[in-house]
Amino acid sequence: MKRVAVIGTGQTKHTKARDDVTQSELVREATTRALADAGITIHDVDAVVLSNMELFEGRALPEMWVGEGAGGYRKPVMKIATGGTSGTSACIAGYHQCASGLFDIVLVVGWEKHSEGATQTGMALTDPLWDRNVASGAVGNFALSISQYVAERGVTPQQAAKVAVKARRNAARNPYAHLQMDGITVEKVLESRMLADPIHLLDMCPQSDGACAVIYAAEDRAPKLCPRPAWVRAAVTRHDQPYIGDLDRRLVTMRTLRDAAREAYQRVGITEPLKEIDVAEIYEPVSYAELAWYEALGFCAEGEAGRLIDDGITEMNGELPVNPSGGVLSTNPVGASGVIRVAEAVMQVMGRAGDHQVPDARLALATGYGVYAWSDVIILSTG
Amino acid sequence: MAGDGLLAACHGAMSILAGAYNVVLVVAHCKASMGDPHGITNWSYDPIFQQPLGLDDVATSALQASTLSLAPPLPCSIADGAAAIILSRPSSVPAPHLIGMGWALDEHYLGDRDLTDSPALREAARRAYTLADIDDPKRDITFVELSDQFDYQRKLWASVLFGKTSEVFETSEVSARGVPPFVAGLDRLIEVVLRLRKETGTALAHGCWGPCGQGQVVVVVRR
Repeated sequence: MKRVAVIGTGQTKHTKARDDVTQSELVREATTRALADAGITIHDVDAVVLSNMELFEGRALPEMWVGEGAGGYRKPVMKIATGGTSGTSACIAGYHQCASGLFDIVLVVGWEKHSEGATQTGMALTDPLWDRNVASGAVGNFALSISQYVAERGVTPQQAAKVAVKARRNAARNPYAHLQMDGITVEKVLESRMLADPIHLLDMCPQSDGACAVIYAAEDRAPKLCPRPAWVRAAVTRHDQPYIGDLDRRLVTMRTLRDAAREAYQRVGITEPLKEIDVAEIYEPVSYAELAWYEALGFCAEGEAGRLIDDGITEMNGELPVNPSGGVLSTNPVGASGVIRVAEAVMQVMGRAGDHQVPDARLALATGYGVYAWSDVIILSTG
Repeated sequence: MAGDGLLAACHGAMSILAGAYNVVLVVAHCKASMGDPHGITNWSYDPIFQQPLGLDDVATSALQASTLSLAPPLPCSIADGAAAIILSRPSSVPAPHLIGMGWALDEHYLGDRDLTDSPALREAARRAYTLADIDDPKRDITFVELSDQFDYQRKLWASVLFGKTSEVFETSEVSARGVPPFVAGLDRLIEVVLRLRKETGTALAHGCWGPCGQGQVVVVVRR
């Protein structure tokens, strides 16, 4: 087993519709930028892992066509789709490929072009016997879980709105972020259209077109190729049972995220995550979810998430900045979103995050969230 | 994971080699009867040039068969099925060992490809042989199991792997025809493992997916 580090990242400008490029060209953009960032060429890449939820665009085996956009011509190419976790699942797969000793340099690219498809229709393609009949997409699904979370933990709409505001204000310092709403306020969030109680329009993530890439190198190559590589310290995944009715209190406890985080912290030796982690890029598809994730990730005790956002602990200048990039609430090309979490965490550790850089970030956390409450946790550091 | 289940086996093996897991269950499934298994393949062609032509796996396999001067191909019957294997870190159990694996994608545009050949399969095999320390596959491989969703493919894949005059593929006893797509490659691995439980040797399992076998995967097992 080899140690592995990320040596480069690249992403597209994320936006509502990239009518000027195909999916393959979108992937090529992110790939080219990652190769440039790593200072290597496609010929140095041994293998490619792709991430995309083709149900959203109505495609089949998209890696057949898009693989070439990632430079996968006659290379080992593998495509992963696990819902929202697709990007982090692909990042973990790429990490395993490198750590296994099979490949020295592995490129991971995630993309989604929601503007070419019907996302809600894709989300209805679940279990045909039970879930499809009640398929309500992300919003209805979250409204159910959030109502239970609010009832048990007592977070308020104002506290959730503060998460939404924090994300969009952070995004205003990220040139790649989709939503640019630096004038957003808590009042504007609460005044925005109600989608499904208690979720307002501005509490939800957007649908974006975009791609993001990261490049891994094995221990003997990474230090030679990158002056400050982001070493993978832990990569843990947890899945859960699929049926909504079987996952009682899923946002309240979020046991997959809790258990994945515990194992990751144990591997790295983290005992006080809030104090020890310098920056977190977590997959928050809806404002309330970020509060629940604070608790599942051990940033605070159960029921304390509201206080964390009230006290500004997770703001850019707080003790643990969460989602300096603007997060999924500002940018959400689903197949890329998990890769963006990892790339942004890497950029922080490398000191390459530009205007949204957290000073002296050395230990970063990235997470993925997928339908059915699946979770991935990845921890990266400077050494 | 997309592609053939044999690729998932490679992924599982890599996760073990990476130190992430000790035991991995790999499952491949396909319930072709739920949909239009040939029609859906039209959606795997790029939407700008090839998909609008109405291409699907039957049409492009006919193209490939004609370039090989063969009769129109016979697709295998539509089937539902699943296959599973359990991979473990090397132990004292005298189970067949996975000693080589490789996979690769060919060009997507059929006009860019020589359909009488499969460079992706050659590349997948080269990677697997390198890991398995196999210099001369004709000599070192005892038997093979190939994936053939169309009747002509078995001969094509065998000629790419072992040369046109090779008889190695003839040692394959069980055809993948009738096994659902995406399950077939993992099913090939199961077949070679079952045979290696009865006799010692080195075996090759093959899987493919996508237009005219654009995706290729090879696993080498030894006992």
